[in-house]
Amino acid sequence: MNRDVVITGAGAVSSLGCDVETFWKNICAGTNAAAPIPRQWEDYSSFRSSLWAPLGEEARSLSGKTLTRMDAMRMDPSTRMAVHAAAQALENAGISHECIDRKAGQYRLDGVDPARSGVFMGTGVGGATTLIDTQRSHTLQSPARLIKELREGESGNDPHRRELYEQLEEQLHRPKRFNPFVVSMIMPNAPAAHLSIRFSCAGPVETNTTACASGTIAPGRAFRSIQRGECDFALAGGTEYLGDSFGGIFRGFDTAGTLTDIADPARANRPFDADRRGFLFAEGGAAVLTMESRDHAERRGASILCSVSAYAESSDAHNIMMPRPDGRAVAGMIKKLLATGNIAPQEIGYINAHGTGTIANDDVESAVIADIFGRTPAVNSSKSLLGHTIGAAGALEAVITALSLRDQRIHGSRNAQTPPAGIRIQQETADAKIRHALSQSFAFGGNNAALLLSQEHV
Amino acid sequence: MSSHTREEITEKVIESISDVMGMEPTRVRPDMKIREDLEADSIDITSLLMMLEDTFDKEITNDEAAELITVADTISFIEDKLK
Repeated sequence: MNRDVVITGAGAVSSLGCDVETFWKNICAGTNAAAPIPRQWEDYSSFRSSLWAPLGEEARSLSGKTLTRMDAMRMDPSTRMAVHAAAQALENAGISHECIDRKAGQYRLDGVDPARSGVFMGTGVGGATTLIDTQRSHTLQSPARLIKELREGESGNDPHRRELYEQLEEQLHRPKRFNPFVVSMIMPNAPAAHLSIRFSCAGPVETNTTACASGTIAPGRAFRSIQRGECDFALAGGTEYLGDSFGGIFRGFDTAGTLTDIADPARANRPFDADRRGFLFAEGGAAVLTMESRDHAERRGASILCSVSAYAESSDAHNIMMPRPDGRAVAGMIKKLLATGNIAPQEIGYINAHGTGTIANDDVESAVIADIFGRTPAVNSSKSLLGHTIGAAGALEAVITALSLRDQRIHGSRNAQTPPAGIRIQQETADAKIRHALSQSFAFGGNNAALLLSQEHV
Repeated sequence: MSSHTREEITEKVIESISDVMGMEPTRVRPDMKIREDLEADSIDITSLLMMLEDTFDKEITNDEAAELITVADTISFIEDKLK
């Protein structure tokens, strides 16, 4: 017999805030995260897109009670953000944790059996930026030494040549040291593994790497695991960090023609608008939910944000970078989701869409929504504010959907001035009566996934 | 010329060791052997070297690291590096 699953806590790190309530406040205020890309990236290439959604200094240098200086040296930013988001989610869920091993940085969660608790995290590229940094140190060691010799030798009395060598040295951006922890930092399962170690979660610990759907599939798998009785409690979400010093990851998306080329930060990011030109690349982010069986949550007297009514996934089996134009796999997944949750399409009050802002995604997604739901549910794109955080996106959007159900409030979808006629875009943030909501993600590779979340107290 | 006094170096080395080993700084004495007395394993030693490199902005080679037996050795080594 399947068990009821509820969400009791949420944590988020993003370009719009490093704590979940600030994040939610900025989302509801329609804050735009778009800003110019780092100047130094342009030393290496010219780009079609000129904007991204940067993380603030606070998110880049997370420290304090959850992260030590040693953590900063031994964890990729994607892991650090996941730990910070998980600590927030636990606090939000009213679960205190007691240190049981100071050297290992290990805590035991109050009221949670380690053997019955799991971790389910998604990430698109894992510790890719740490790999890039470490390989720079490795491969540029010899060129850096040669340049130094040349600068100190032949250019001794020539200020112009010396300046050129200095510029060359600077552009190498070579980290001083080869990080000896590189292997444990770049492995995609590092965020989940660190959460397991830190919070003594000794049940199922899984990592999902399905590009832009990772952050929806991971909580979906946590839902199934709790539903089937494999564990009672889980930390579940997604994390991503894409801000390498050279803009190489950005260039990959830019070259593929997926990013917006509108130069005006106010207009660039416009999912579901007729004039959309691609998505806004985000530096990164993380979100973690505490998910529990209803019995477990009630036993410890937890406040419940919302319940999880169903989860479904499918694959386009079509193209590595393009959605299937007829939307058949997405439509099939949504119908399966509704059937599993025993909920009719007209009962869905809100859809947090994948809504990237690419021509192809929004065409397919809006056609599927129009066909199944018509104009009944309010539809928005959280990426219209945050940009696209790839492996973290689904998890950040699940947090937003859970908070929308908690507060009965739907955020406005930025810049959707001329939306598709068949769907009802939420133009401005407003209060709403929502009983059931859907949060969906589609990935490069063809993975589709959706969570059906429901209001707890009618 | 180093801008650090021996006292400052001692304080920072002990702080680095206590951070890596998860122990109070007051438990770390200069005469202690890092591996034997403080029970540092190979991961701890690697972490400590990273911490010292970051704290003092100096590279430490594996050969140099092998010579650092006691806390006092480490303090003297850093003092020499900063000269």
